[in-house]
Amino acid sequence: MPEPLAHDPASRPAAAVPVGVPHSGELDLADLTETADRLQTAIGGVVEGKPESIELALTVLFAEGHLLIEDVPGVGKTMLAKSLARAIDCSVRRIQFTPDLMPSDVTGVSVFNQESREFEFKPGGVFANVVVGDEINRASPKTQSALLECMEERQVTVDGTTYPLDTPFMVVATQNPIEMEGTYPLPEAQRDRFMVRLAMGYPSVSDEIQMIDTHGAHTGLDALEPVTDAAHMRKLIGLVRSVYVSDAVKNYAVALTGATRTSPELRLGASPRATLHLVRAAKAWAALDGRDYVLPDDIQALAGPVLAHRILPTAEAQIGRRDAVSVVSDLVRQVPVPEGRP
Amino acid sequence: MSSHTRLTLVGGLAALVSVLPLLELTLEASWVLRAGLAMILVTATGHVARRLRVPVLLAALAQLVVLAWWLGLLIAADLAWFGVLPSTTWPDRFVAVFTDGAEAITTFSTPVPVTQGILAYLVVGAGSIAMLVDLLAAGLRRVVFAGVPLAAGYTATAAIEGGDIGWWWFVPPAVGFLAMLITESRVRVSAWGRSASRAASSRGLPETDALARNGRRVGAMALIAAVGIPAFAPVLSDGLVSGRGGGGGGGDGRTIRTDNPILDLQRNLNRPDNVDVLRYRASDESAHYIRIVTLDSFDGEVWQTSDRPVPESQRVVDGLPPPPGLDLDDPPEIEFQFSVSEDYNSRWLPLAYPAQEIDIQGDWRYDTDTLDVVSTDPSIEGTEYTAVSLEISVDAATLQEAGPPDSDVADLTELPDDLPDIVTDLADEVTKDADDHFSKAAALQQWFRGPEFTYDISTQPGTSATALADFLTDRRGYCEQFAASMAIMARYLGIPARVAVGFTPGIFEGDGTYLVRSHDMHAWPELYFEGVGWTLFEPTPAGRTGTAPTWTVLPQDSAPDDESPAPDSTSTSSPTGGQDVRPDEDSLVGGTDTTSGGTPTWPLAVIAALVVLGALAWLPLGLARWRSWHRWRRAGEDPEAMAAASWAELSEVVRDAGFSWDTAATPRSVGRSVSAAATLDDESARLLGHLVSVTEHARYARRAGPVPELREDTELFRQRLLRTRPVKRRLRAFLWPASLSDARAGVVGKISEVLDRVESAGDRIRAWEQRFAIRTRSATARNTDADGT
Repeated sequence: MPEPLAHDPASRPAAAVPVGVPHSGELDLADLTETADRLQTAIGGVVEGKPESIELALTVLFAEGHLLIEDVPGVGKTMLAKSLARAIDCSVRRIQFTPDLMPSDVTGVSVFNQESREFEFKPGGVFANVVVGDEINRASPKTQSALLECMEERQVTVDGTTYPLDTPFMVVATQNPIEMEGTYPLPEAQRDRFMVRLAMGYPSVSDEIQMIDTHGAHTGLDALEPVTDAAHMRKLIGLVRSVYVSDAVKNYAVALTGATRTSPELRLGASPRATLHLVRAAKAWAALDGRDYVLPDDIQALAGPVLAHRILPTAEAQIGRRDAVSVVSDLVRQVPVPEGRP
Repeated sequence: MSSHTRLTLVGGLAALVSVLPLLELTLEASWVLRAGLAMILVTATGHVARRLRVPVLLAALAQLVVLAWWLGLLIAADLAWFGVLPSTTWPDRFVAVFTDGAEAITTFSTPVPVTQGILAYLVVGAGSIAMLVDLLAAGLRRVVFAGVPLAAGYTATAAIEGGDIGWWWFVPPAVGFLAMLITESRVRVSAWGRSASRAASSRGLPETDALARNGRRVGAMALIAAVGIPAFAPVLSDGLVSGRGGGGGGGDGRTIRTDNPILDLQRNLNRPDNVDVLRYRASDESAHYIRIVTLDSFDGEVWQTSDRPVPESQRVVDGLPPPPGLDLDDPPEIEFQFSVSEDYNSRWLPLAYPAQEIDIQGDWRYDTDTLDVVSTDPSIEGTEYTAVSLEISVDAATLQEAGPPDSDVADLTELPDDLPDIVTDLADEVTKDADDHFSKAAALQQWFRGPEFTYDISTQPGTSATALADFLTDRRGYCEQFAASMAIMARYLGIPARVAVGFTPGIFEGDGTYLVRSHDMHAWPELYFEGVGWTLFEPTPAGRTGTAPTWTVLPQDSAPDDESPAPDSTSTSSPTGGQDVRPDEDSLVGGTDTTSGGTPTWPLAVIAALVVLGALAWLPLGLARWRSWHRWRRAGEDPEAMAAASWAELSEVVRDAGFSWDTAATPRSVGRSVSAAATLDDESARLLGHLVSVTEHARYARRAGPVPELREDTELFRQRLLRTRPVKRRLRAFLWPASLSDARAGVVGKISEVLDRVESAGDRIRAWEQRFAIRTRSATARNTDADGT
């Protein structure tokens, strides 16, 4: 994980309301931070030793993005996805992607009703607030793209009729990067639609031991009670939208994504959508920090998770054992931080 | 553009600007155009010749021919064939014009009018500089040596103006030379091949940016140092920056000389700075007049030394003869130790009269009549020597009883025939009540010292008979005129007389030592009395010389002499050494100086030095605080500006404390790294966090609100942080605060930027040309298309 990600959450409360600085008071973020804390605690009870991952997942949730969890089997990908969904009192669907899964299983299908003699729409798995797409790379590209279109448009069109999806709407997809046999890796264009790619990583030794103790018999998932509901989440997401981004920070985000396009180590840079996602994620990150304005630090912290899965290192960089994450963190170091208002 | 062309062009430009200092010497500036054209022609000729692969020396010859042709056009166009071709009559004209020029140069003082002759010299000079620069830089590729001709313009001006030339004239040749060095280095680097980088190859230049930047920085710093350091060096009057100061009656530089005593006298008295001449210490620990030379011949115009050969037999190593006319039994001896300052030189050796033994290095010889000691090869700056002089005890009564002068000195009453009547009339008038020689002399001296005369250094110098007549009419003058007049009048009255030039006794420095300075230079008459010899009189008023010597005053009328205490006429004193002038008499030192008496001056000097050192040590911090104050003042009440000021201040504090400050990092990460590096207590850490969040807020939040006591908090953090640091570090922060490094870097950066712009001007012009060419070409193409359809 790149350096900026190693954000020490312990330092946050201290800086949340700076001493002596009159808070501009534009937004009351106390409710949001409180809810986020409750969510963090709840999910943390299930997925142990991964506060950074949970924080990132919450950031994506508040930023109305989609999350791609990519890691080896058994590190808690699905657990994180499921506990995130369970912690909010909202509709949750889980789609297990397999090679024979059809697009209509995802979007839904119009079925002819013999009684009413009309076509009736049977919603697919995507009609939920939180959709957990397990092992997304096992489905055929056709099915994958059906899901990905929903993610982007936040609506489903079947037989000429458009059905809007509920808010909040979040897809948490997991995939296994190791297994190649019988998988269809997501193409670059489709990975671009996920706001953040998250690698869980192995837990530390102590966390793993504790996991044996607590989850030896059962998973904490069963005991997880929702701490908030969809309506409340909608309100909080509205708050996050109005977090202030100064021109300096916007320029910085653009400069950073721009740098990925000119970097000699990359053969594919980040898209403008990446810039958009980066700023949106930064807003949520700032809001979770209790701030109603975005700092360059927020951008730096999120540059790795938001940009790394969208870019492709050149062959030379790969030979030099440079992965996307390290290239991005180098760029973060190179692009000058804005001094303030231009 | 090829490297040769580039070097030629830059060399030509450098040569062109290097002659600009010569403007200082001329009244009008129009010659620059003609000289400049000469330089352009010469440089162009050189370039074409190199293109045609003509041997270097042949090319130089061609340049000379072109220069001569251009000069001919300027000064002999009327004689040219068809108006432009050299004719056979040209050489004569050249000779005539150059002769005129040489005459004009020696006649006029600067700034000179630009006559034909001077124009010819200017054009030839400028053309030669261009030729030499072109030959050395482009022809022989020895760019460094081209600095010599480039400096010629400035050096010549400085030499003619006696160093009295504005520092800014130094800049054009220096910048020109730097530009040449830079160009040459680039050319040299380009020999290693071209850069693969696109930006550089499109400009057709090797990528030497980093190298060139460094070079420019070094150059800029050297130039600043060359111009700046002399400005702050102790010798302010000769520094470049002082511009056209000085002048006036001062000589060149600090060194004072006495080669022509009478001419040097007033000049030295009028010098703005009172230069140390020598220190002496006498075994009797009292003050003495120090004589350098005796003027014993008056020709009606000037007092001068008579023709006196000093053969090798009269070397001082063998001792000196007894003083003429002295007939005393075994007079006591006084030993003198002299120490001459580094700033004084003279053909004559400063001594107290009459010297008998001298211990000094070098070939010094004496004159038997005057006991003047002279050398053909004078270099007494900084030397030390000892001498033994006689102490001649005499009183007024002895002098009064002196017999008629010996025939040996009789010719020392010679005067020119055409002496103005006023001199003789006044001499008779003043001495009408006196019978003997001494009484007459004393009457004369008393009259000169009386209230009718005013000591005035600003009087026109001169001792000619008419100048003295003026002096006697105006009753206003300085020691030279007092001495000369009295000597002439004494001669007229039949007393052998001469004028001595030297110094008044100087100021007492303590420990028996006296310091004689340039303002102490003096002239006085010496009158001859049989049995005593040459005796010092002092007609110059008391304001300058103090009390008159006791032996020169008649016993009965001592009181009304002047305001000074009545001399004790019964005491015996030395008529030649001025023994009566005691160190504690404050009237002792003449001129503008007041003596500091017997108080040693070194504690004052030490205190002054400490004060200066202290001020210097405080200077950096003072400047840094001033910058800080200015910063906050500029920020005013604007919250964003105040936050920026606080942040800037913080960056200086952190660097002063010896930690690194990453300007590319965000405020938060800077705060984190500072907290990690410094061991801050909780309170300081909280303060730092506060300052960080204020900056964040001001920079990135929707609106920055006013923060109370931000300045105080910043200052508080500064104190807290520095307190945790070792003393060495704090001392460093005191002596050289980071703020000053920033200021210096800012200045250097600006200069570097300007140099960059100057250097890239050519590239920009080319780019503009290309754009223009493309536009013209496409316009032509469009027109052709339009015509075609």
